[in-house]
Amino acid sequence: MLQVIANAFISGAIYATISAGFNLVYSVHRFFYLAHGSVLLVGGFAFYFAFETYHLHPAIAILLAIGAATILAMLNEILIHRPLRQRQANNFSLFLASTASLSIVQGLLLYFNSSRTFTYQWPLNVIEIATVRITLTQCWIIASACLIFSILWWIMNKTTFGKSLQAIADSPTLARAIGLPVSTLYLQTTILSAILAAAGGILMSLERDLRFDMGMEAILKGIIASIIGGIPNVPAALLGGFLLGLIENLAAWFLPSNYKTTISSIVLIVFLLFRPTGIIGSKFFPNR
Amino acid sequence: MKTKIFVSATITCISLIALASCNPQSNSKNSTDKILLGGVFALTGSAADWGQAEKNGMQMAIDQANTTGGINGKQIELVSEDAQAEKVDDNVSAFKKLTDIKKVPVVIGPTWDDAAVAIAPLADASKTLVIGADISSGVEAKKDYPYFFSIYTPETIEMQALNDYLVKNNLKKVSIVFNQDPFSSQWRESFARAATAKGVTITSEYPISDANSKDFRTQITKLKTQKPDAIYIEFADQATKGTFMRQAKELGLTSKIVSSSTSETQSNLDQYGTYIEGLTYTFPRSTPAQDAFNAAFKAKYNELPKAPSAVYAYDATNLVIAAMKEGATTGEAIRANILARKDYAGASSNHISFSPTGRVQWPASSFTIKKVTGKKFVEAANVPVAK
Repeated sequence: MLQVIANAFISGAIYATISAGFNLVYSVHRFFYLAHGSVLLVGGFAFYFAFETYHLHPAIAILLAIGAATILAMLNEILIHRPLRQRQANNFSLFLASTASLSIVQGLLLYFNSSRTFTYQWPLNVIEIATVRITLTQCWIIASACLIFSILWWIMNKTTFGKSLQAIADSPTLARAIGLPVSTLYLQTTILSAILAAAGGILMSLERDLRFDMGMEAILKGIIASIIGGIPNVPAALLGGFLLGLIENLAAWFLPSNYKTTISSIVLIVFLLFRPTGIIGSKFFPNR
Repeated sequence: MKTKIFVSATITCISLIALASCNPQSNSKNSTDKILLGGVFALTGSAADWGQAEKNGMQMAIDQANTTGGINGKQIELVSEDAQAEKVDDNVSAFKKLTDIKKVPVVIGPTWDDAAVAIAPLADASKTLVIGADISSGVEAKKDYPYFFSIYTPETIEMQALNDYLVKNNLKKVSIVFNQDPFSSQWRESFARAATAKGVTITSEYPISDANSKDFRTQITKLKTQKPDAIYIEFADQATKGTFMRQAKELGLTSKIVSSSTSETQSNLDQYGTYIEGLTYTFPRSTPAQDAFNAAFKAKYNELPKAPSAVYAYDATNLVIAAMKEGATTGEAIRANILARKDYAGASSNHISFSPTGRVQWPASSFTIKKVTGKKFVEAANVPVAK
């Protein structure tokens, strides 16, 4: 059972990082930003090619991944979402555009990378503690997630930028009225979420390899984790991610293995019906 | 005025080009001069390695026939369509394009079972002979479609060979981990049936409904506590075997991992070489004809086939060409000709025959056991002697 909990922590760290990025965009932009899945994939692939194919230093590979993810996210914002908002498009139109963007990026990745699975080839460095086996890479995944969340919590709670984002999340109209540069903040949110997406993509690729079509599945996990944890809240994304990992792994342990995805879907519906605020967040579908 | 003339001329040109490309008679000269054979392959998407290997295998058979005079003096031309294995509708459209517009008597393909399930009834309706190069018996498990053939390794016989190996090596308690797609489910079914017949006990099964799942840690943790002698794995995406084996090694699972001939793909070796070390699987016994096929394939495409189905597409095409050389020109006549052949010496086997339902039949001695050792596919030790 200890191993199952360790497995849950590894999955949870990845889900939480993906959830944090989605959570941030949703709380400010207020639409289902599925394109986060494509930004995540581009970040993951950029890191893979930089680190595994061209053997660049991990720090440089991370910077390149963040750069690639940020460029894509900014293109999404400047070429698609901002013009749509200026045309008074509703959230459903933004959601559809974002879905189309995810589909286009996956198509381009398929065209340029083929459908093969990309995997890292490094020795298995396994650490055994009591009955629990965990690899060095997985330790890095959990440590990275903790570091990312600490920095994110500090940004959101201790900086003017973070407080401005919270003001927009509460009321964009009021934020404009008090003179906050809303368009600039939208763009900055997109960049921050792209950094989180790149981190999610890298962590996911280290653990589960990379394929051109992993974006949708990844973002769905992020959304479920956000709904479980609650929006808009950094600790909520963390909690949601780890709980989703735990639910999936316990379901696979106690129930027939093919119910793993079904159980997380049931949990999603239960939360939407009976606890739409998530465990520690605010109401997921605000009436405004 | 000039602008109007320019716009009108442009529209007229585009319309003429569009009309010409839509007209099925536009290449009627080609149609009468050449014999068209159809192919529906997944050249993109998750099955691209398989689809591309099949297209290359078919093209190689056609090119070889053309250099020796084609079919009774007429050159053969491959008309192929790309349809991703996951997109069943695209496969249906591709098939209809080949049969309704190009009027081909035979189609090689499609890639993987999901598409085949949709195409099999259409083959009957149009009396077009379809020969699948990677299709399991599951497609026709409930109903036989007379015009749908499969030349792919007969999994029922292959799984008997795998169970013979398990018995000989005293690996009699086996667990199964498999995807619930039609292809993997059919392999699991054949494995389980052969296991029961050979006295191998299946101690637990782990069906995985999500074919894209890449996280098997909990199932592997459970398998560690159950300690089966061996674990039979079968997944929709062959690369998943690499992911499963890496996680098994990380978690310290020591049971022997066995699988089918679908394991031997170059991409698996390239991507997961160190992780799939020890993977043991059945594979058609190497024959001089197969070695010659591989050498010719490498000479033509500068690489070995990325998937094992290339040789089946090659044999299927050669069977069709042989039938057409004997005067069979319609789907009906080619079907009858191929059914009547016994022990055809192909590159995949020296003894290719088809059952009345259109499933290829090989003797059990056609299979051996192979293993990944030192990043190579090699013959395993302690393999039962072929009878």
